[in-house]
Amino acid sequence: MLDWGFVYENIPLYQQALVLTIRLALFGILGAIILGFFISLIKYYNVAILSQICQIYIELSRNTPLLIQLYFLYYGLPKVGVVLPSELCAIVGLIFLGGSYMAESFRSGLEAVSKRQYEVGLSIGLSHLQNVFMSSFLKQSQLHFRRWLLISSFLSKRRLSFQLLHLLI
Amino acid sequence: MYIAKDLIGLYYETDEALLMLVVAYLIILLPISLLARILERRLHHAGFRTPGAVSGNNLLRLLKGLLVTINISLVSILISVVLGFLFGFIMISRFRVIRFISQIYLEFIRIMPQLVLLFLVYFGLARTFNLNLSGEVAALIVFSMWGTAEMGDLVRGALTSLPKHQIESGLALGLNNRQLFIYVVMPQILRQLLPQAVNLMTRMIKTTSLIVLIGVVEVVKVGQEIIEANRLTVPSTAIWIYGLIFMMYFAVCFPISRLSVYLEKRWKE
Repeated sequence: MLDWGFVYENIPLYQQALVLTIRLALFGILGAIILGFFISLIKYYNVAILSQICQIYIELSRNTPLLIQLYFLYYGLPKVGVVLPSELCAIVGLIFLGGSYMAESFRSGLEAVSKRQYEVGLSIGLSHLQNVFMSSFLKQSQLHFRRWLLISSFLSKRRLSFQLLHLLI
Repeated sequence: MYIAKDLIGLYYETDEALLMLVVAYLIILLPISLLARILERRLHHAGFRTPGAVSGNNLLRLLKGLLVTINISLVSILISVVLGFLFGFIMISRFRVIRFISQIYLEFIRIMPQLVLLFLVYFGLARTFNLNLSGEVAALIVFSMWGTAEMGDLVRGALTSLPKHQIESGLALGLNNRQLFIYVVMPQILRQLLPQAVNLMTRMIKTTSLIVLIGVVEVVKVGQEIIEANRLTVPSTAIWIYGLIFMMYFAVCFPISRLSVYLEKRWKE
């Protein structure tokens, strides 16, 4: 059965791997939140061309597996001269995948803000951006936080797929 | 849009999720296999042979690899729809112990990454029980387990969101349990379930790309083989092959996820 001595011997290795996993997940999630925030704003205000580009991006990233995205980044891109180190590659892949999920979550949050609420914000002298921040991010932060956690756990699980891939090669 | 509408009309009249899945199966698989067969015949006929990256035979091989992936995900989604329905009813069981056990199963499957489950079944079973499953069978087991858990949760959600007065009015009309189930419960939960089940299908297809890591020869593996074979003659093969695989997955998943959005919108009113 299980050889516990062997397991104990290798605990430092697991520790390193765990730290790496958490680091990748953290950067990936943070990046995805930032990217998702901007995309949701672009989609919410319906900025002319950018909005269409974002829609294409969302469809592309939601309808393809992370593994393929990572393979493309790691093996495909060097052939056209873009060489990314493996760790950066993983983070970029995560941001690419997570950005669209975060964007959808933010957008539904933005759409849930009532018009009256927005106008109240304007009347007490908030700018548009402040308004968006106050009404959608602070007021509904509870809702957001739940979604963030869900998406984050989803992303950190995906992390592992890259890690094993990385070890295998 | 019209084709989709007709098909949805068909699904809805028959009220059978299974039939819908079979139809979806045909919609996805038939064009791909037809295309593959036509290409094969034509290329064979013309004696076509180009050493390019994405030329003739290679595209065909990639399509066949894609077929393996889709096959595994569709078979496991069929299994998980059937078992998921049962599991959903188990999850709202009257007995607390059963509810607790099913909750634990759901959480366990959800929290574990699918890759770990795959490795557990493929390598773990071989080690501990000397049970050597082929990669395909291991993938089928894992994805059916995962799909059952997810589908069960969807069924549970649909069942608990069904207003109580619906069942009570059915009882008041004098329907028996079977009639209640067929005429009151099923039509309503199917409406809610179908978009979500279709969505689960795209997730399943996307996640099955992981099976390359347990040695199943599917589209990514074929892509790697092609890249290896052309490494010296066409060094930039990798980007084309992975780009093509990327677009292939997109071409398969995009219509399905659109269908899910469409169904949801249509039935929301």
